[in-house]
Amino acid sequence: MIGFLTIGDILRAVFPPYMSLMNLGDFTWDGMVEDMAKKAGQRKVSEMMTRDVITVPEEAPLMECVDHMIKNNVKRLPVIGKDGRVAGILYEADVFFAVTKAMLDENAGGER
Amino acid sequence: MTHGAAAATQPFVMDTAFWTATTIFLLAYAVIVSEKIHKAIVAVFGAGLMLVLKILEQHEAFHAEEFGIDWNVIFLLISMMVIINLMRPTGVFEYIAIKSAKWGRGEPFRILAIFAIVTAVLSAFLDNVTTVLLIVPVTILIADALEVDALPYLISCALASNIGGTATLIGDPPNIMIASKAQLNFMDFVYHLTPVIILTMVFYIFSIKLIWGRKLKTKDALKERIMTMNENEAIKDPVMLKKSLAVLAMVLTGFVFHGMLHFQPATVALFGAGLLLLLSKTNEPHHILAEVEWPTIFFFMGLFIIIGGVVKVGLIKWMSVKVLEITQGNLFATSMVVMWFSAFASAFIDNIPYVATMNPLIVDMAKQLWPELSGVQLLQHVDLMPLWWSLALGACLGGNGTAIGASANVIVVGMSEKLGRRISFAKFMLYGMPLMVMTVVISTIYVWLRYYVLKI
Repeated sequence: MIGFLTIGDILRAVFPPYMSLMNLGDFTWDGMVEDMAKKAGQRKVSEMMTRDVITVPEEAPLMECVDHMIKNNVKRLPVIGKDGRVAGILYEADVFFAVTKAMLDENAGGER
Repeated sequence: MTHGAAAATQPFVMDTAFWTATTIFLLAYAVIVSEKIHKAIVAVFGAGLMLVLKILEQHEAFHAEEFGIDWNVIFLLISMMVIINLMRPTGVFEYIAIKSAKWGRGEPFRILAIFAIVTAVLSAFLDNVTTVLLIVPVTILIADALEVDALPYLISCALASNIGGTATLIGDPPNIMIASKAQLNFMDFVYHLTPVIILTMVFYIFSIKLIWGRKLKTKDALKERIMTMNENEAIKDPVMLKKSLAVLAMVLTGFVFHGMLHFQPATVALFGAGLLLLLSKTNEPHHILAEVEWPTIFFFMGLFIIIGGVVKVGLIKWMSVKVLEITQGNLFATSMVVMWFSAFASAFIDNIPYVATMNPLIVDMAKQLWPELSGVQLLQHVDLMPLWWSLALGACLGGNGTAIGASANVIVVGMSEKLGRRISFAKFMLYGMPLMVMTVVISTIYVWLRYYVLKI
């Protein structure tokens, strides 16, 4: 795996970096997003993607994944298999389901 | 080592201490120029060596006026940085920039000229790096809105900032250092440097009109993009803005009168910074203070100690003798040599270490010319004054020569690269060098006319 392209990466490619160096968000014009999108559309994926992707090994505990997601503010973690290739992707929602399931089981257990 | 309080520099002998100090000095400068190691680290390590090898005693480095850290410079820089850091979040700088662009009515060249003037004026009161950090992002936004090449705006921002910074005591670090060394006050700079800088700016605006005036064209529909921006939206914290403007006004008034009131500029700035910190009611001064440019501050401190070492062993005095030999004691010739040598030296090396070296050299020169004088009478001898002004003009304006000549240029080029508008070394020099030579020619005529012909 050489990189990862997320919606966030594409939005960042459209949003000019100078805008965030100062508080310039109030100073835009009609059609600015479209203008910037046209320019960004000509760029290669490799210029926009995140190169230093945070990954987890297949056997990583779920808590470690939560730690990565919170600390690095990422919503997905590619899972690397034993052969060194991407075996799957763990999404924030996957973790969320696991967490809610545990919460509900716990509550159900309490009522019994 | 010398004994007795009266011993200023050691009697001149090329002993081990002399060669040790000279080696540290030359090596440190060579590594700073090579940019292999960050200059702040080089300066601090070099200073450490000067102390460990007993070239300087710690007491001299920390407390001696002649060999040690110039705390006036350090606290003036820190205090101004704190004031600006507190002002930034209010949105006042975004307001000024957008307002200027609208004042240019969306005309690309008019905006270029107005930005040059605004940058120069801001640089006269803030440090140049801060100014370009504030102006560059807006500059690119405006160029994008008008669909014109951002290059003229970016290069002009760096050049105008270096010209404007020359105008006042607080505009550029060389001036702060010169003022502290020669005990000059804010109004001295206004009286002697501001007029020539205003004149220089007029010539500068005409020059950029010739260079870029015709190339910058846009459509009326695009001008509307600028005119519909509402600068009032930039103001995020009107209460803090009022407080900062009041404190800034007080500090500037303090600078104007500091000579009369017998305050050092650092006292004025430190009081302002303390007051604004208090008024900001922040309980978290941590991030405001952390945003001070500490690498620059440590660079200065280290440099002062390294220079202190070579002053003490007599290297600087020896150099001043040589300079006087070359110019045969003719002070007009000396000031011309100082100005042009400073200009070309500053175009390639950082003007801060350069001026840090030149300052004691000029003092040593004065001591040889008027051995009977001391204190202010020596430092502000009527025949010595043109030398200080030549040094300030040469060192500050010389920075415009190349992309590495001044920290403002380095920042503009660095930011431009990050923002996808690369400016090559050659490209910068193509515009910077001729404009630098023009500004130094104007200064040469000014110094010659004012101090050697009209003598006013």
